[in-house]
Amino acid sequence: MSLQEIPKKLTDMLMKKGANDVVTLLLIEESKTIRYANNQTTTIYNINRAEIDTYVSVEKKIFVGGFEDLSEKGLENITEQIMTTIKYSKPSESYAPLPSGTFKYRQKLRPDKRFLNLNQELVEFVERTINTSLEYGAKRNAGILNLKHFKIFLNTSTGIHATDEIWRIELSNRAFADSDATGHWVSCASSLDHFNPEEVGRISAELAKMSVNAKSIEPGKYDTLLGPMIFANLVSDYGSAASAFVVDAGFSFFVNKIGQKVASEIFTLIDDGTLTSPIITRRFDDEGLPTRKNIIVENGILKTYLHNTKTGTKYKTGSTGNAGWISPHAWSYIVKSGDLKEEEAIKELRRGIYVTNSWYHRYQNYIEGDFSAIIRDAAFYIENGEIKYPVKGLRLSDNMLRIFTNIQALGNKQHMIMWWEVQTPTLVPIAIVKDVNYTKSVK
Amino acid sequence: MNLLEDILKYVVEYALRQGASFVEVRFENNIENSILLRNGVIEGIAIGSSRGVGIRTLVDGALGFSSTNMLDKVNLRKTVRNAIKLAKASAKTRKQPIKLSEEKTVKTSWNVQQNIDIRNINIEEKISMLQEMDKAILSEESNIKFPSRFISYTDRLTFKYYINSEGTEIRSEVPRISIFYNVSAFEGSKGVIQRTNQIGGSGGWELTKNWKLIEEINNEAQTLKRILLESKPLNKNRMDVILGSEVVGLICHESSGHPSEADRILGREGAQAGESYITLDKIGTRIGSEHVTIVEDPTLPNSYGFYLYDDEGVQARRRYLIKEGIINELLTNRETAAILGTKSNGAARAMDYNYEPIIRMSNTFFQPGDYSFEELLEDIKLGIYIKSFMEWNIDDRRWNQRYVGLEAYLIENGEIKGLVKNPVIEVTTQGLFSSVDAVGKELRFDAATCGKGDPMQGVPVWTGGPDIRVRDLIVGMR
Repeated sequence: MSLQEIPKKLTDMLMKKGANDVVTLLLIEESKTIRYANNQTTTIYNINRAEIDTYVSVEKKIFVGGFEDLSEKGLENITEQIMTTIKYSKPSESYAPLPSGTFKYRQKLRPDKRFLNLNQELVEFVERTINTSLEYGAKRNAGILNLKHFKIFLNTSTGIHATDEIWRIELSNRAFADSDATGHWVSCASSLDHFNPEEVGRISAELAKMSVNAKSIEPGKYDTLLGPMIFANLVSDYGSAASAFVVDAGFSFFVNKIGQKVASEIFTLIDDGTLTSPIITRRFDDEGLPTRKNIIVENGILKTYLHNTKTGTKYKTGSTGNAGWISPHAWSYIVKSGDLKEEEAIKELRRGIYVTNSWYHRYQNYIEGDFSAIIRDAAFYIENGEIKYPVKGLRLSDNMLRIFTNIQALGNKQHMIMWWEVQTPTLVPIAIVKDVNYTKSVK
Repeated sequence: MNLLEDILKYVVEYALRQGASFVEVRFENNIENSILLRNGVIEGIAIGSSRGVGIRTLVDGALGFSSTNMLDKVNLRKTVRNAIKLAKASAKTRKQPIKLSEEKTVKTSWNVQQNIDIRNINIEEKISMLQEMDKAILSEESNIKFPSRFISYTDRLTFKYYINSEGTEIRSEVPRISIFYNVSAFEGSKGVIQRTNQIGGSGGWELTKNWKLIEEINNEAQTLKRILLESKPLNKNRMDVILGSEVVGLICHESSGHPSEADRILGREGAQAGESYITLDKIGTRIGSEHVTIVEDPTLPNSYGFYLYDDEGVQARRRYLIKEGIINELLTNRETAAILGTKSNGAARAMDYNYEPIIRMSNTFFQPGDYSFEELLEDIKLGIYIKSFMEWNIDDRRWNQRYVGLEAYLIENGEIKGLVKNPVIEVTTQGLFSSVDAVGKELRFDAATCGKGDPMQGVPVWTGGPDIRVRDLIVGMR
């Protein structure tokens, strides 16, 4: 039995044992990773694995699982295990029948062979990043290069068969001009034409060099220029709150906000499952429905949550093509660009801060949206439209809805961001936000 | 020789023949059962099962990690060859070859005993336990509602078989159970507040009995009601602070545990989790008062972070990260121990077979002192007692941290007064540790899943401590 035959076979085995609905999704991963620090590689990863994920319902009782023993005996065990386990479960109020029918997916694309056969070249990409960064003034670099390749085979008991292939290269470099003077930049693409290691080295190094001898500033409210890295981090957090499951589970500030203002009127956020460039996204969701473009927020108004069939039935909207069997999720986040020229953005601020990156977003209250985040890497104090000096030790302490409502301007250029903190492809411009609140440690 | 042993030894021999100077192979079989309960109703049940090998090789002074769950010899050979090819290419970028510390070879097996085997508990009983917890929350509803209640249960049984080219062979089996919940309390005029928490340990189903989950979550609901109705904002002020053990445990983990990880200190996590305020020349220097002793110990029985041998085959032991205020010992693996000219202290852990072992915490806690809670309180004129928290974060050198209290009380003249709304402490690590002047005697632990690495690895840990008294902090309000 070949790997590709497994989904259909497992679906049939489960149906024969009494399942009412089955989805099986085979994921084959072949990925390579190079990690580096102090300007040299620290380790490489080579992953070669296959997994079968399974959704089953029996009398409205819901089961999901992921299994890695794909032998004939393994499939028998999986079937036995699922049907035994589900017997003792209880019906779910969220249950809805699986979609059925014939669907039109976007055209299937294939990676070029050059992309998948990269080996020695990956090491060279890392070297080019590091060398460029050193040329531009960094003293050392740490980062990661990922080459990811997934094949996906989906089968449902309602007769859907679909296959897809996803691949991308992701580079993330943090340059150090001093122990606490750092800059970070990324490049991620599904084609080498959009992949630029030299730019990653240059931008991260320039930011790091500008950050040397950073000063402390008074906490308080500052108009803020958000660079693409931090804005993408905020957008991916903000967008994830649109999952209907996240809303229902009490982890979202979008509860009861459909049709209401949740952002500035210049802000429009799209989940796009149909992307082919610079990053390719999935043709179908985990229930076999075609992925599509969903406008989550349009001109500041929350238009929809993201749904699978279950949440779409509950909310009477239908699925938005974002299954997740339990929790729907976005395929990408795209923020519509504005008219602010990047090179003139700093001039827009009379007294403010330019921040480039953040991490550790933590909520005091998910439903209210109160949170704080560590400002990381390069940040600068701005006066009368000019950078005065680099700053350090700040913490953004504000409210997610307030930040997005206070967006004053959006850049005219978009940047694709994916890295450790931003796992969903996120395409954002820069943004200017009024009155962002900052705090700092005092002892 | 059984089939699995045969496969693992074959991989070791093959990798050596391909030019590796060191090889380790870790087979893991993980079976995880989860239940999600939302507002009393089952969202779904889940089983996650992973089963494969992680292979780490040292080739020309470079480390290569490869993994696969297709355990036929053809695929295993391909996996090893790919890893060695890429490791050889990457070796050219290294100025210094990677070396591993010399460690004792062992042949052993260990496990965590289950008094009541989780495999014998059917899903119905687990669901019933969660639904009872949900009822215990709802029983507290009045004008205050609990509109959003999310409770999840997970048990995970991990079997590992580790061998390396030096002759070490270790088998282990560890069952773990954890419960996570997020509860929101709402009242029309007061708004909404939330509490999330995790409880976990290693052992069998008996753990769930010991945790007194119904009582625990009912207390949580009662506390949320009181906070929502009674808590009052406080003006920003300089005052003494008693930090409850839940907050103390987190501080130990974030401000002592993470910065003591030798890989961070040496720059290996620089692009992601960051580096550390601890540099090698700071070992032996003072970071806190003499009351501060912070311990890391994987061997605590039934702990969530329990292990006896790490994922490099090194025996686990207790380490004193900070001893009486002095930075004392780092957490190391074989790579960093070789750089530091020492032996590994057994901190290498991997989340699953398809992740490399990296330096991780296990159970990190503040060593108890001899103060009762009343003694901690008695000479505080104006202060605050922060018992639990929601929001927190810390910078990537582990220096600037912030904790926002959830259950917190005003202290006046040595007595606990009313509840305080969202008090914030934002302080440096040295500022905090230097201001500790008294330590309670009752040690308590909380469970957490610690994230680190890229690819991200979440591993189970305990964080713990007694209540501690910290003098003269600025306490703000959110």
